Amino acid sequence: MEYALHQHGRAAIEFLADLRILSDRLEQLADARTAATRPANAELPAGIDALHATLTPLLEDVPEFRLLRLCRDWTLEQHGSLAMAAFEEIRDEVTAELDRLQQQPHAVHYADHPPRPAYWEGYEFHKSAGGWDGHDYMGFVHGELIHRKMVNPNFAGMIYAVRKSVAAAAPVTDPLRILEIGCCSGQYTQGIAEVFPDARISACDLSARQLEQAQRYANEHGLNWELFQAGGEATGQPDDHFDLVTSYAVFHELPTAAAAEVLRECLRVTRPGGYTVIGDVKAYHAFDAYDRWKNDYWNQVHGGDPYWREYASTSLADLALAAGFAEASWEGLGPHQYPFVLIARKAGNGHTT
Amino acid sequence: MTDTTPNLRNVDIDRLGKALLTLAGEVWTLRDRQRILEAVLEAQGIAVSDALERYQPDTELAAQLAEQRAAFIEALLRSLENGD
Ligand SMILES: C[S@@+](CC[C@H](N)C(=O)[O-])C[C@H]1O[C@@H](n2cnc3c(N)ncnc32)[C@H](O)[C@@H]1O
Repeated sequence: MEYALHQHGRAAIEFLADLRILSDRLEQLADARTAATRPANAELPAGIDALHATLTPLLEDVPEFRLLRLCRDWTLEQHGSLAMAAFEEIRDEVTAELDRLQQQPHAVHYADHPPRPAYWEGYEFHKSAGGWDGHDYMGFVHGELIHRKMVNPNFAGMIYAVRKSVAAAAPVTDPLRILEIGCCSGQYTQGIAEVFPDARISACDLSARQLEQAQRYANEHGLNWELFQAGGEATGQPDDHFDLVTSYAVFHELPTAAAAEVLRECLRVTRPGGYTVIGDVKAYHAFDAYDRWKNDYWNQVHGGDPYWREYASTSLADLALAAGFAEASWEGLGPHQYPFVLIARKAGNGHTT
Repeated sequence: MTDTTPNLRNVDIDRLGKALLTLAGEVWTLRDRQRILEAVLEAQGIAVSDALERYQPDTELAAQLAEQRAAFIEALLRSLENGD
């Protein structure tokens, strides 16, 4: 959909996105400033608490590091409200089209009693003011203004390619039916649709507002997605139904108990011989010690991601095997081992029912 | 686990407050000037407020703005680095 931000919203978003990118050089400065004083990777402890005990005071003593943290705290705290303010400037110009894209042809199936798990409810992930559902057009605000305009520039436009690589890693050929868990505004769904253009794609999320943005995207691009509001713990789908069950960037937002529950549900709806493929951020064991500390510091401690550490230190393969999958591997893709992908096979070779 | 160590440990808070007021003064002056500019142009029969709001910079202007914005942010970061 075509839209143009007004001067204030546009300039403010550009300022925030640039500050986020340009302040990154302070990270290299802090690395360099501590290179001589910080223990070599081989001498650093493996455990995360011990790593913090050694490295946090060392780095927090470096002025460039504290300035970097000031910049990152500020951009994290501001980005949600800034995006909502930019939306208010264009509200009257875009809502008619946003509403029209929801009219047809495909609907979102809303849950009568939407589940609102405690780990999800009210939590502003990534310190994004408003959370997933906190605004009448939160799907557009998050998917377009935050994701496309603020986050994407920061990753040099790679966030869509990364999603597609996860779908491409699924060891399935010509799947008939695919279920996505936690589709949000449909970013990974687009990747799945590109890799498997002939599959029937169903996708669920807890957030009605995000599903509505996925619906707009699907309607605009003539994609026949079945979008429904449900938690990955209880999708309401038939047993043994999908050739592939998949998700991207959802599990790092789940406490381990919920992750295990979602995997049991994935197993139930995957057809015998079919696959569940879960992509998400890199596991801690794949980092060297200093980078592991950084990843934890900026996401768990300072990024507003309360389950990040739990996710990154728990083997998804073990969780999948415990859930009852016949085989499971959890490995990083490509030279940077990013993202990490769980590939889990359900026993049997039945065909889709 | 919330860490509350201040980012800019050695900046005296008065200095930071004064820097903020300076910045606020600058921002207000710009807002005032911009409003005056619009009023002057409108008095001459050129209605610009709405056009300013909706103006979409072309590639060249967007590139110029990006460059100036980067320089502005760099200057800000440098002054904060030195101020610590
Ligand atoms: C980071 S976003 C995800 C992204 C999306 N798949 C993408 O590629 O950008 C996480 C999404 O997971 C959803 N979510 C969190 N817990 C969930 C659960 N238990 N079941 C279904 N969706 C969930 C959130 O509402 C949110 O939309």
